[in-house]
Amino acid sequence: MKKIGIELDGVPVTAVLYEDLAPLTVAALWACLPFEDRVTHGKWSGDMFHTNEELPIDLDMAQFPFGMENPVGFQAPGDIVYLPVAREIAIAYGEARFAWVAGAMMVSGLGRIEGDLAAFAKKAERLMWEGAKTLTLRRLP
Amino acid sequence: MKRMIVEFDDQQFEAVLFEDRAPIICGNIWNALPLEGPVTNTKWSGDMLRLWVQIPEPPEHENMAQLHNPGDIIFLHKWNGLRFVYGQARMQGPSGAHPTPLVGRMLGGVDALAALGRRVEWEGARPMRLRRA
Repeated sequence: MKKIGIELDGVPVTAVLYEDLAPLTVAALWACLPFEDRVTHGKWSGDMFHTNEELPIDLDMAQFPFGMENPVGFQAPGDIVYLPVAREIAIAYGEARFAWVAGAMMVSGLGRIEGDLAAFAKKAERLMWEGAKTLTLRRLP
Repeated sequence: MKRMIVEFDDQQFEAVLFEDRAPIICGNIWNALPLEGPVTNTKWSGDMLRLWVQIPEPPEHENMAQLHNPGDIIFLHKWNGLRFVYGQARMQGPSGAHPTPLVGRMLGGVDALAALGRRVEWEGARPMRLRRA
């Protein structure tokens, strides 16, 4: 089982990736790690923040429904999702549903944060008040 | 016609209140001026800034609008404060879109407001001050 460490402005959590549900995308994400970016709070999706630099993931997902592996329409706190068209990762930390101008969108469910989310969620909520912060993703053994 | 000066992050804009269409809410806003508070983006509604102030809230829901244009100024019952639309936006929350009182409009400066909206997104909350023109 692939696990990653996520750190948002000094607050660490661990997450499990869904190798079984999204094997190609998870493998591509794994190959990108470590990855660091300045993340900002979402403006359409509720309690969710997202990366801004495109992840170097180049996959042909045309054969999959909705053009992605493991398409999900709803997110729970701690869910990690990927939007192929923007090559961005988004992480839900509370009440959230991935959306853009046209409304709610399907995204690829790639994993979920394990354990207590409270400190991480508190830090994520501050993105709206303090602006962009550094997010790092790295492989865990 | 009631006009306000919007001072936001060292820039100044003029706005008008729709006292003909939302007389009670606009009267409350006018009587509460000057107002000052931090501005953030919203979580659910797109290109829309939220000014975190408290305005005496009447029960009346006047001039309800569901679609918004850049420059619109919106009051929101229960959550209070004012919202400033600077791009593609729709007032909504976890339960979906909902109409809200349209109480005024910026008289120009929308492009500058949009730039400030992006700045708030990246650099964090900035102060805004509203006063009578």
